[in-house]
Amino acid sequence: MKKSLFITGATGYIGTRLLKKINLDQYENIFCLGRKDNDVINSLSEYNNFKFIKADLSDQASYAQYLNSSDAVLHLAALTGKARPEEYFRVNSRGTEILLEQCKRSNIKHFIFVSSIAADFKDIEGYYYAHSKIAAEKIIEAGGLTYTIVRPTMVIGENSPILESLLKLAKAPVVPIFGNGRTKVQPVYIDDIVGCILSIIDNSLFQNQTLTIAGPEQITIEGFIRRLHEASYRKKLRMLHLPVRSIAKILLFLEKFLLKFLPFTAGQLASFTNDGIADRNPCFEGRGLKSTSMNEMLALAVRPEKGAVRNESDLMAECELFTNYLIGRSPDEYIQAKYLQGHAAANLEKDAGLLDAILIRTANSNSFFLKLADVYTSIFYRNAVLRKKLLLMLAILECCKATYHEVDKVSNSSGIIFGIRLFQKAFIFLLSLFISIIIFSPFRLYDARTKGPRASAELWTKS
Amino acid sequence: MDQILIVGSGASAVHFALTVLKKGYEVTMLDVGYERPEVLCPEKNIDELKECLKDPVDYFLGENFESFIPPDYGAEYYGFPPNKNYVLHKPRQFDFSSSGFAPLFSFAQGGLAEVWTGGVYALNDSELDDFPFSFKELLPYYNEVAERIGMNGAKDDMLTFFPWHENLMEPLNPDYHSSMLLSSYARKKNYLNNKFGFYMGRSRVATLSHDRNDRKACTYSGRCLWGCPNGAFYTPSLTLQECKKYSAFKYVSGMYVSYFKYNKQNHITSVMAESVQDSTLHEFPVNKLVLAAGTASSSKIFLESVFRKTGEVIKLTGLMDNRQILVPFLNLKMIGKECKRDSYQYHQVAFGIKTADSREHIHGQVTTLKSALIHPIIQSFTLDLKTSIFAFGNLHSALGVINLNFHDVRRDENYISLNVDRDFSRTALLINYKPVDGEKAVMEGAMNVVKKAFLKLGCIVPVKMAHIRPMGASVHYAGTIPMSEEKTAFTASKYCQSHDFNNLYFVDGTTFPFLPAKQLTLTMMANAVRVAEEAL
Repeated sequence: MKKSLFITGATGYIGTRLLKKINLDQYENIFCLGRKDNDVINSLSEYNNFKFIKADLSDQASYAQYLNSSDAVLHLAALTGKARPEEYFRVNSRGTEILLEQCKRSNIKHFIFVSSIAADFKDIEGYYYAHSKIAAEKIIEAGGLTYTIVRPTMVIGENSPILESLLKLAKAPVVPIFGNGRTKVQPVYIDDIVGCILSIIDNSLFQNQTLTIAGPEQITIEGFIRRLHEASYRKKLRMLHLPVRSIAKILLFLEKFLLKFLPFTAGQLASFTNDGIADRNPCFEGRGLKSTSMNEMLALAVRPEKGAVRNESDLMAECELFTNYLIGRSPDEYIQAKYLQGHAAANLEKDAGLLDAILIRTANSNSFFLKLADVYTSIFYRNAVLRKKLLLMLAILECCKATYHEVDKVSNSSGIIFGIRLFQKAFIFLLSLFISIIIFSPFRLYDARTKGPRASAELWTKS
Repeated sequence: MDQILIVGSGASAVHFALTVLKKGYEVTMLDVGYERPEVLCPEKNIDELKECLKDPVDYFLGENFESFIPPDYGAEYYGFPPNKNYVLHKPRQFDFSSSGFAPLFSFAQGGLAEVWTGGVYALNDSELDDFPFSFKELLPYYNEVAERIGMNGAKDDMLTFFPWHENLMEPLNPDYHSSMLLSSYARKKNYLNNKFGFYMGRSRVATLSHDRNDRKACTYSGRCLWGCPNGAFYTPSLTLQECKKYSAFKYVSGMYVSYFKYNKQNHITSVMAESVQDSTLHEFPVNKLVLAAGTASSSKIFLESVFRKTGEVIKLTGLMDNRQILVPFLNLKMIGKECKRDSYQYHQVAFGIKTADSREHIHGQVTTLKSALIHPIIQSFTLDLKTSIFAFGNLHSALGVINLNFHDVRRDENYISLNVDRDFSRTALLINYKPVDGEKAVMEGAMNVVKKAFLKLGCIVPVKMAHIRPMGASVHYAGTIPMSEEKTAFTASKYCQSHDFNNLYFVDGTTFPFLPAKQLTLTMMANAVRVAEEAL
């Protein structure tokens, strides 16, 4: 018999992903509680067995009738990120209590609560989120309903909140590592979490149990940040270890007055001091569920920065910009496809150094900066990856029926007009050269210096 | 009648084969024989081709973008398009190493002349001085080959350098830039002749300027570089097709010839060839063996045969090749003119510079820039690429390349030999070359004349941009088993019959005792016909 499922926090990160993956046909009804809708909710609303209830957890009256017709509840709603202690407890602990009471009245058969690995942390001084989750877990355990508590480790997926925060760190010029960096993490891919949760609901698994869901590999937090750095940006990684306890104490003090202005809270540093791992990973054992490897999840979730190995849409945008720059018109689909193919075939970014990355990033901003970078590389760095890219673009354009005329044409203008154009081009070239020297030379010198004397010599001889 | 086994299908092999087939011999030709891909959209000109092709980038740059030339492209740039890659493809059985020499090899049907630029120049008496025959003796065969392949030329100032023979068609319509150069020369020729010994005229090319038999005349489609779409431009595979019409002709492809076996009387009994596909060894009985695999490969077969029989690794000395220099130039009068891509692409103008010794005259060909890929050229400008495109568009029709050729003589330090594995299981071709002392001064002198003469013609020649091609790049290899009146080891008779093995003939460049500064292909073909007519 098909079940009816009631979901809270359906518009949060895990909820949204779960709704994208869920097969509505397998359920009698799906009721979603949330304070605001989103695209996924809107797209599902056309199904008869899907209902979105716009309300707060505390507003029992608005959702009680739907709980009455539900078999299972998936409780995802939670307050995360930066907030005051009382807010955490109001939403995460008290909110859970209210929901649970209503669930009891509605005779819910299975209550699934998505908690956090933080509830298992040993050192949670000032980490109110963890405290509020622990409180909620206790309420559920004592509540008398059949429950399953799920504790995901670090959830990695496209734009997952923790990934976004760590990427900000990983891309900093100097990456701060709080503590010795040897704390272990075991990141898990978002779709694997979703798969586990759905499997638990569908098969009524792990009743009255608390289980951790983790990815297949453990790694130190420093190692993981290093991997994120490699996956996102190929700049040389510089790390700075900071004393985590002193910083946490300072933050804890400042939070009382300046919470809004702090980049992060003392509690959020807990991941640097507590191992976030699972000794056992029972959800994946013998159930044939996919457990995505770290390489795979990074490839799926981390969008490389411009200047590093980049994805298709970046290269398409680059192709658009380059074609417009070189011949003043947009590329068609064929040209874009060929640019992607040629870019991969010539493996253009394989030798990109810091200066290359900066030139590519700058050039990709707009045609003005592209011109500066083009002029600079034509004089000082003729083997630049950017120049190779532009040449590849040119090589493609000269082969295509739509564009070959544009790359090889005589200016059909009279002598005087031609002379003015020539003068104008010479002037723009010299001006661009002047500006580009000011912009790019410091990076060139820095790049040469950090590569050591030999590399430096090579760099200069390149031009 | 005797059976003849020919190794190779290049320019000299096919003309030798056709001649002996006409005489009634039975011919077997062993060849690796990679085939030319199908000609796409044969009716279209170069611009229409871009519109006709489904995937023009694949056609012009290659499946793996191998014809995309990045700024750090290190290798010698030949400009061969992707559809001609088959010409340079090597079977896995073949290996080589070289010093001072960058050789090209072909295992394709038709050989290296499938990617030639069609220059066909007869040698004059002084250039044939070291050969055991005169121009007069070779003339009938020049005439015969000219008739077979279809070539054109003009009776102009270049007669000083290129002797006249029969069966030359009237020249092709010159492109505008070439005719500008020729008319500038006509006005300044007295000065140029007297001051620099510089002469200019039409080059002789193996292209039909009017329909002949079943071949159509050049349509000026601008596709020369990517392979003539209608067969107006001659390549040896055309003659190979003609040979295949003879029932007495057996063409065995997919065979890499390793060596021949011979008996105590130095009589060759069979040839051993490996299947390119499965490496199985095949033995072909020999009555008369004709090596025409190109100087390097014919020498390799000879060396390996001796090594297999005696264990001795010998050196074949006297390897020659033409030094070439490529010099770009800019014709000031052509700046801002429209570039017509649909015209004949290869050289239409030739020039010669006289030297004290007439054997050492310097020859050059002038190719005006038309439909070749432009990104390799645009990137050489010291300007950003956007401005370079603007500049190139206005300079395109004014640009050209001069190809300067220098003669070579047989010297002992230049040789072909074998590299042998420790366990004697594998051999590889070994080529060693050292340029002659004083070469640099000769090249500089020639460049100086070219610079001044072209300036007189209204062209700027940036000598600093000249590219001295590595030895081996001109692919005019010759001289390792030269024709010699004396019956010494590793030489051949006037009829290119080996002095070491009585039933072995070489009809490629192997037997040339001297290499003038000219394309040797026409003379190789004529010589092959001569040997077929006179020796057999």
